[in-house]
Amino acid sequence: MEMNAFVTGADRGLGLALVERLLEKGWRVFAGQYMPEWPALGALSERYADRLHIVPLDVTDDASVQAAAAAVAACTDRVDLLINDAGVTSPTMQRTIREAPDYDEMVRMYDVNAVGPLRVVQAFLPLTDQSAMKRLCFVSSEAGSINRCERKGWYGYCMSKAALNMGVSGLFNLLRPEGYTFRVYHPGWMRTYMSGQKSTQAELEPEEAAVPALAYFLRDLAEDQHTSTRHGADRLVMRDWRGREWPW
Amino acid sequence: MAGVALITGADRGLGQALCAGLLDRGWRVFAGQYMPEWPELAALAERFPGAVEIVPLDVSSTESVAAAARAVAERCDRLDLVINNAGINAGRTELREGLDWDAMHRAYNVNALGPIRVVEAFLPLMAEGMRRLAFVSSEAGSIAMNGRQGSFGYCMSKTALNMAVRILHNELRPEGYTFRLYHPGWVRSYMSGQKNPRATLEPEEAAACALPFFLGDREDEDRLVLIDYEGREWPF
Repeated sequence: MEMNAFVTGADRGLGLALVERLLEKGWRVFAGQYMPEWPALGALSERYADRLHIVPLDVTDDASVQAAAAAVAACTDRVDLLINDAGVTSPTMQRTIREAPDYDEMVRMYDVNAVGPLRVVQAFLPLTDQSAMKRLCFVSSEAGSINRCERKGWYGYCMSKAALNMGVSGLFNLLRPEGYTFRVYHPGWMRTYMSGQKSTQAELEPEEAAVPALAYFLRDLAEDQHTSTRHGADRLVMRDWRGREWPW
Repeated sequence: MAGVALITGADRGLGQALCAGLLDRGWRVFAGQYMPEWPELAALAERFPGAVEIVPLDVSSTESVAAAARAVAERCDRLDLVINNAGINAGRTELREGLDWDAMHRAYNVNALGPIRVVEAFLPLMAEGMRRLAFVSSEAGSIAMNGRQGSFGYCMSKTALNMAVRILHNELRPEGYTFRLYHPGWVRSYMSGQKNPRATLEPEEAAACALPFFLGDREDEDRLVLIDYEGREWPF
């Protein structure tokens, strides 16, 4: 049976690499496109014309998210795997409390990184409800771990990822009893475009990062068999690309 | 020792009761007022003439917070304690009924960004004081203990607040600032607009539990903890 995935933020970086690997594995992929002027997704669709569907998507715009869900629904009645990858940083995010924190940018990062995935999950529920797999994946970050936070500055980014983790926790409580399974993931520090330009300092190329990420997103875990969240049969965890759990 | 405090969201509910509790202890209080039409603060000012000063304050507005800091700076040169109390609810809570994105953003702006604005603006006044920063958070911000299937916007705003306080702690603890991150219990307050009669604590009871924690000493000030009204620690 052909499996269907929807990936947000698929234009470049980790999202694009995840799309490419899913296509290599035979998946049909609906790729959320935020930047139609960026050529990589178009190039990929020439190689996989039959299985890659590009869908315009701005996760901050509810109408755009609903239109994307309608576009996917026109092609299939089922989405098995939803990967919330779209995320942003900000050039001003490192400002400390004495360096005039940029509140407008904090709002923007919250809108994309924390609220965006909820908009997407809500709009796609009728499609994911039809799947037996019901797998919801979220690219979060170690920066969302309050327990481990050592940063000064970075308010808006860390807060957006902590809020994302809480949002996923609510989704988990609501949807896990219905058979949904969840992956909250820190992909490592990648050479991606989250700040607008490609990072050159980071540890991982997105193509490298996509390998352990997709392995974790697709692998069935023993706890997936227990739809009960009681008695610790399953609990939500954030894991990084080396498999380590991060505390909230 | 009595000092000088600023309290946000002082119009009614817990903020109002915290004001009264500090005034009873002899403190001078700047009361952040969001709702000039609400009568309780004026009544408090009559009860404690000269000790309570009302300052217009909307923590969702950077301009309003800056103006409030200027107004306080004109009237005193030292602030010992800032209590970030102002908070709101976040609208529809059920995913399958459709979340209210605008309400989620309002809650984030007030509950999570508001306290950062207040700390930023009032920090210069705090240098000469006891350097105590208190935050009314909530158990609803605890991911580890979260049992809710809804209330997304409110929970997320409080988790984000806890993270913001953690970063403030990382920045300001080395300068001698001390932090109180607090879950006040379920208070019969007005966070949804109307007083909630189902909750378990009157604001005055909640303030009586909160103030000893806000004013007292702690053994390990280097570790940020979320503590509730019964002294229990909540994990993040």
